[in-house]
Amino acid sequence: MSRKNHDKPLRKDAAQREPEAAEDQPLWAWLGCPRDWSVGQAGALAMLVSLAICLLAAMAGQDAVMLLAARGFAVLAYGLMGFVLCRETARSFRCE
Amino acid sequence: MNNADSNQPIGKLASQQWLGALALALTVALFAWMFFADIFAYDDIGCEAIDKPLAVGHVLKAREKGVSLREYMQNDPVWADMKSGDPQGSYAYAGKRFQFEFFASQAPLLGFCYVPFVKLFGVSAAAVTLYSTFFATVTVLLMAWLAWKAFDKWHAIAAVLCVTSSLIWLIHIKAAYAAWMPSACLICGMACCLHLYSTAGRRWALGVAAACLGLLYLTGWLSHVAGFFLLALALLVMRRRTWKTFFTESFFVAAITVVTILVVSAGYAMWARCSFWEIHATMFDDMTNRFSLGGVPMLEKLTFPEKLAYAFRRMFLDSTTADHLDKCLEGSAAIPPLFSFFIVAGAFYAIKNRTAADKLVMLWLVSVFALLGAAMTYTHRYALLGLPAMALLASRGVAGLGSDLRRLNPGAPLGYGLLVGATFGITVISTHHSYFENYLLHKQRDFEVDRARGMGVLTRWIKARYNPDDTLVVYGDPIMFARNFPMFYFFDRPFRFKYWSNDFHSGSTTEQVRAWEQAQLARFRRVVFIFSPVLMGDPRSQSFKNDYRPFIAAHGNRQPDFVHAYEGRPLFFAFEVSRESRP
Repeated sequence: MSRKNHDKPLRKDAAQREPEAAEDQPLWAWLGCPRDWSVGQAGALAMLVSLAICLLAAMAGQDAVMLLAARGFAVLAYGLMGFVLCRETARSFRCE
Repeated sequence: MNNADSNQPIGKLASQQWLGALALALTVALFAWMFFADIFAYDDIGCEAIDKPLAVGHVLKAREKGVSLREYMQNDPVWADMKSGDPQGSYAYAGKRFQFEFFASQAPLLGFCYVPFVKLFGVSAAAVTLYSTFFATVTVLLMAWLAWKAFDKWHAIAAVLCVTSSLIWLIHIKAAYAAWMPSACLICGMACCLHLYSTAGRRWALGVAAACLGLLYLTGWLSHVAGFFLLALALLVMRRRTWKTFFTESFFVAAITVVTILVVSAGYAMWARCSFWEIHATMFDDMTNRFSLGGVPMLEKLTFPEKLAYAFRRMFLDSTTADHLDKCLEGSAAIPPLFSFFIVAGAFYAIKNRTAADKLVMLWLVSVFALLGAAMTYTHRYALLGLPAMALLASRGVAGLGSDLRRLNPGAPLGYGLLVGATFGITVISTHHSYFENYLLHKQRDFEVDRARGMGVLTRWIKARYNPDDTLVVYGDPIMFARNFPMFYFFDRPFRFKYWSNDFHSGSTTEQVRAWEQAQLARFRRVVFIFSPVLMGDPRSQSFKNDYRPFIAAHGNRQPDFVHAYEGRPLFFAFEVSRESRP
């Protein structure tokens, strides 16, 4: 899905420089190549990380600071989820 | 592992096929062992599992008599006993309707689903167990089909192993409320249709998905909300098209959903001889009643992230809940750690690869779990709607890691597959052991569990010795002897019954007891008294509302005719008083 459509065939040296598609890369190689990430993928990963921090903070402590942090990361996670969904929705109407 | 390798030697391909066949056979064997081997081992079922089959059984009786459901509910003598003996409990549901009229009208699809089971096996624990087993099996088959079509056979095998070792079976018997297994089945069917629609563009599949959404409304409103989110998100995200096409398809979906709801509910109203409007008023009241009642008090106090953490903890760390009947699931994680690990790994692979099926699985999870964080209450049954998606995601993790290992070393996937397969096998066996050994055979001491325990034993004892035509059964109180248990177990031989606590208490005298007994024996040849040793009231003043001691005093400290104990503690004891035994 992140592959580009090219009207003209690439020259051999250009094709060799073309980064591998995400499906063809191992997970650790893909995570180590920030240039291949789309905004949607970065947003989805950030959402997972925010959710994990929120859950850890909510389970770790009952003091006001931790709960405030948990609430902040929960809002961030839901916000990022909304962003990713909106972006995917916008992409689905792009052919107009 | 998840990519077909066309340049492999023929011999290697054949060995992989044999390996796949062996893995499939072992997976099917584990699933069958889990769901079918000890299927009738346990005849004490959750109290909420009783309601729907009992209501359907009475609908069938009303049809036999050729009267309307309302007329039947108003005139049946055992229902009258229930209404007079426990008026608070009998009218406890939404809109202050009579409880079983509510159950018969609400969620009409479940009524239709239960009919073949009730006709074949009667109103019995076997009918409840087989109903749950049937829909659980269909759910797993649909999920496996989706995994096979969307990914490959290894994904299907891994997904079935994940599901078999987890929550689905916990819900299966422990809290077998009628709605959730068919709901999981329908949402799985909807996902299969949406996969066909998003990959092959088949409009008929979108129509079937819309019909599934309509049927979800007829099983319960919460599952309908989750299904609505899934269908709406799939329509918005899964295919590239113009606004005009989007609105046309949305109209098509809405029309089919509404028509399905109207046709099925009208069909049920005709079949069950109840009002079409009553069905929809009942379902609407059920939904609004939930909002007006609010949630569980303990959860109401939690903040938004704490609710999320609560749901997470109940799901992945310790399934003990603070409030509901699902607390019978205590002791271990609802989702085993191995399954949880692969869910996280699978999420990374889904974000990396972003195939249409990956998107569908992620949207499915968002539809179910985005609601849970803000839920007024959390029970494991809600999460059952997302369980197939979690298994699909975990299968993505299993197969993705295998595929990556092959890049490092072509021989590695075989060892990895054997290791993962063996670990899943151990997890399934451990889950089976936790349930059948720790729960069924050595259940922990718990008020909720104890008061449902042994009802099958009690009713078998009564049915073997007494005749419903000349025997009155007197239960100690409606809390320890919940009203729906005798109605369920005595469905085929309905005994008239009363509650002792309605007429007597700690201050009652011997004369009062004897006079009451005399009045009952004028109508019935025998009266069977069943008491629980658990006394409810104030121990300091020795005032208990279900105190059986006046009965003992009136009968000269006689020994019980029947005692049922569990692990050394008596659960209930029974006395028989007959005309012949009276002086």
